[in-house]
Amino acid sequence: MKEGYVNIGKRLPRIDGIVKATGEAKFAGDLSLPGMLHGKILRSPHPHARVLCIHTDKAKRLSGVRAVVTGKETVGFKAGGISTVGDEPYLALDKVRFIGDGVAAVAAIDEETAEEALDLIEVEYEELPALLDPVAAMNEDAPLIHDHAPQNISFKTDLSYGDVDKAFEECDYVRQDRFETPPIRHGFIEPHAALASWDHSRRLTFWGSKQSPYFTYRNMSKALNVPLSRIRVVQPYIGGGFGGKNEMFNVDFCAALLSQKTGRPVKIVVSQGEVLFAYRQRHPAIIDLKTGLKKDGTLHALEAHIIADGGAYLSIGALSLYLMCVFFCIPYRLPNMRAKGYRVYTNTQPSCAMRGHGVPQSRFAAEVQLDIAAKEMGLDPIDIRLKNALKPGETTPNGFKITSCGLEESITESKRIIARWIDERPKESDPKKKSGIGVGCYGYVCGPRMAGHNTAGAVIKVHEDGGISLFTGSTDAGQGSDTILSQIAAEVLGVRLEDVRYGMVDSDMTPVDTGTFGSRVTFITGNAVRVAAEDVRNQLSEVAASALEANPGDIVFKDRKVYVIGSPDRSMPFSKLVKIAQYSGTGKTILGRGYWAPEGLEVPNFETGRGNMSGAYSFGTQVAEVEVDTDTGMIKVTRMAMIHDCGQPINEMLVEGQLEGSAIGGLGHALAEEIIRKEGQTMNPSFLEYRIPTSLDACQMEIHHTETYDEVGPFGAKESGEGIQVAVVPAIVNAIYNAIGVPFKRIPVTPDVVFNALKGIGQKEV
Amino acid sequence: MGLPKFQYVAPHNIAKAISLQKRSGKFLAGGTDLLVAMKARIACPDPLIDLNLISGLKGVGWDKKKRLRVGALTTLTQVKENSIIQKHFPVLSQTVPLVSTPQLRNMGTVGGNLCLDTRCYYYNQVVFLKKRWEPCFKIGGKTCHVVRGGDSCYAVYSGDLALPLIALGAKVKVIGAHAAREIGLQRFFTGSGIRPNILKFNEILSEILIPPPPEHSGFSYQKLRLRDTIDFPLLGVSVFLNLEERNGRCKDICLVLGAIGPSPLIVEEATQLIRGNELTPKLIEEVSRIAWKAAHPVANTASSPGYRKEMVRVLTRNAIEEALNRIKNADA
Repeated sequence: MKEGYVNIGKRLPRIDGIVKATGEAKFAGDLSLPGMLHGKILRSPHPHARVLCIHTDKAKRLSGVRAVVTGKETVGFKAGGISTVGDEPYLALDKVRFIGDGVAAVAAIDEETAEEALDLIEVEYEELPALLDPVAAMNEDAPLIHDHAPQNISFKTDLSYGDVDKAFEECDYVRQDRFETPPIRHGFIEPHAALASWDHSRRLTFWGSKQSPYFTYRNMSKALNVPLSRIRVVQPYIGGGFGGKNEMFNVDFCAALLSQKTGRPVKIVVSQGEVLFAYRQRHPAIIDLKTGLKKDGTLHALEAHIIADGGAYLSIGALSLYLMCVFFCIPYRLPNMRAKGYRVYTNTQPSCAMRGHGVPQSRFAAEVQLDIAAKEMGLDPIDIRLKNALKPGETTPNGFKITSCGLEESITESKRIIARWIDERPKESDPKKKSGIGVGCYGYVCGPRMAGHNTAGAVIKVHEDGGISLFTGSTDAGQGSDTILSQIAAEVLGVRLEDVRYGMVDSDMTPVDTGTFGSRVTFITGNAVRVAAEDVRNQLSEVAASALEANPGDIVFKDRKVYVIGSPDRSMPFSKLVKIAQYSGTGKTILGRGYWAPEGLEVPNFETGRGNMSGAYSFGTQVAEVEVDTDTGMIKVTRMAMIHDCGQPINEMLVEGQLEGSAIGGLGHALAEEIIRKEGQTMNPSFLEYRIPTSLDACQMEIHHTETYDEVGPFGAKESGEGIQVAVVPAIVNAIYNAIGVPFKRIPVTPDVVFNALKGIGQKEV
Repeated sequence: MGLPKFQYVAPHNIAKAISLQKRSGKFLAGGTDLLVAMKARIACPDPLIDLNLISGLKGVGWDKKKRLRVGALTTLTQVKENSIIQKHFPVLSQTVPLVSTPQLRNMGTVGGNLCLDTRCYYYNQVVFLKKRWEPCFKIGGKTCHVVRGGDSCYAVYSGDLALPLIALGAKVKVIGAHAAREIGLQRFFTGSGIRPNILKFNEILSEILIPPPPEHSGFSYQKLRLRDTIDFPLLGVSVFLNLEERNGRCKDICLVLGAIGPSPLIVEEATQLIRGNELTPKLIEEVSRIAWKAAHPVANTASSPGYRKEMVRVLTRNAIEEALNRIKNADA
């Protein structure tokens, strides 16, 4: 960490805290326009069926209905995540592929009428066999969900580094296990919502709950067949995304199409129930993992075979599968690795990115297997991690260049924490309760390089009272980036956080942006903001230099003042400087511009997987302590510690919030969350039966930053809060293993699973 | 979805409320169960008769027979904070915090908690998804999706408070168009998943009457749930235990299981087994086994019925031990 900053590294409350806490912040669903209509979407009741005919006459005749649209009224555009070949129409064209797939949409004068109209739409279906199990879907003779995908494989990847077969022969210890992870929810509280207004100048203005608004900007243009510059996407406040609000969805498209048809603004807000049965999920995965070690604990070879259930459409799944496979190369040194992955279509909700994007699944498998190996080999699970931890300057076999890296420090610190926790345990304890401690490690990207647009931009306007307006194309979906980016601008310009006003995305005015995903905003947009602020500073330095009779390079910006280096008395207020710039002579409009992307990155080929895909990597170690009630199988996570390397934290308070939220999300993933389906139908589409942890299920948490500073990140900062989720699940599962001696290979580890396992062990002992 | 259309009335007395009611209507207390059901189109009552202006349904105090009278409209938070209840019926003040969340306890009432509709995985489903299935018994159909081939509804009564109240020997007062009656709380429940309680459309549960517990008695309520808040019980076990002063033998016991069927279940065999005997660990095990045998949960929640059944044994043992400890601590 570096000293001397005014805004960076400080515990500053988030700039949107008050408006969100008071309810003043407006989300997409809160918005309304004069003459606005309300839309609803008719969904498929079948997991797989051909759409033969849709009769909309009765619905159209219902009083109050203004328009009914089906796939026939569209240009037939199919979305495909980041792939050029799309497979997902916003309204069904020929088939429906999961229960909840969009079939038709209605706009009416109120929600009730729209709802009533849905019941009047008659759809003739020819039911097709539903494929609900990815393994069965891969059979040669399985029916096809998409004609273009033999064996229903939507994407495959086959990565190989080193000589894996030979390496396994050189190992002293080899073990193979099958791990399984469930489909889970992103769990955002604000449901999908969109308001669209098509006007007579043939332009669309769109407000929606989109964490990556430029995805919608581009796809909306294609789906409506309207030039891109006639699409204006405006971002309201966003109530969480976690990867589930990157893409444009049928709710967004239907609002726009219905507005185009009716000439009136149309709003669609889906219910939380619909979010939970008809939108995205995390990829469930079956991972066959084989790991080989030398007898001193050196990791030598790894082989993985992954089947990921992609659901009905590709979405962003190619990247998900690639990350799931390639991230076996990090955070440990692994000279020989082979990972084969298949992302398979099934007739369930489409899987997409979710916090940790693909990595939580494979890291769960690798970290739990490492603990089993350590135990069987008589090695300490911490020592084994320390021995294999990547260090600064190393390059992984697939080409990840490790620059700043606090992994060793974090593992070493975890050892101290564990010792302290054991020491702090009460001397007397309930014999029915067993405690255990486990760890997991992670490495994560700070903005993954992908084909296509990969930069971020920032624009800064300076007001003559010294205030700053900052615009970027990135969104704050709740992670706090509006505050972080404002802090960066304030630091460069020597003003305070409260002097910066952050303007949310408006595609007519803000710079185009790749999106808010892959932990790229602080790292990439943060640098763009830094560059834009430096541009402003350079412009103002010229003015100050002439006013203060100094060299532009000698002007210092600090404490809302500028002064000549070494002569603090030769100074003027920042606001006065802006006035001089704007008022004197021809007057200068002070407008800063910045754009940035890491240099030297390679676009990885997702099928062969070589290339350095991130400008830096974050690292860390998660420690969890659990208490298992051996009577009931109930598990309580009693405390957790996160020792993480995010470089220089820009705002410690926000970093803590990110880490804590992420860890509790991981806790839910490990112990409770699972979408339960029966014949393709989601049975728990509510937060009552789909149990995300509440604040009362949270535990005591400790946070330690490693002493790292990244030379590329803005003010030394890297990713925080996404990577940690990767390590939480294995830390908890390993803690349970430590407590009761059972390594669970399928999550969630629910009380009934634990109860049965304990009973099984009891029988074996007899 | 918003609420369906309905006529709303808020009378000031019980007689008026009853006279205004129709077969298609419902009474509104805290609304924490009913309004949710209305939004989900599980219930579409018309008229909706709001009872909240009726002062006769409120208040907590001793009646002439020295029983505690709790007005049905008393909120769960008021029950928890009431000093008489804290002093004489601690099991109630301790059970209330296990119900739902603070916000819902501020709205939800004791009467409403007892009148809670039964729940089921299929019945409490998003309307669109529910329409995919044939109508089940609870919505007037001829099938049960939980117990295929079953001949009745297995929806679960998930109220928490009914269990300790039954264990305490509480009665409820039901007021109808022509008469009022008092009945034991257990008999308030019908055992039917479709219509869980005996109330006719124009009858009101007006108050709960609880006799003071005898000396040397102790209670316990154990709730199985996966999160420390919000969740309905996956299983509830309540125990009332009364010991002889001289020899510590069991004078009386009442063991009630909840959330495993359409109504709370009193395990009568447990009473026969324990009464007059000393509560040895062996006997407690035996009672727990009998409770386990009596419970038949089915697959109508997101948790496995096998696990819920196994937990009957554990929670029964814990409940008896806790009740015993409470007697010992009170006597000490």
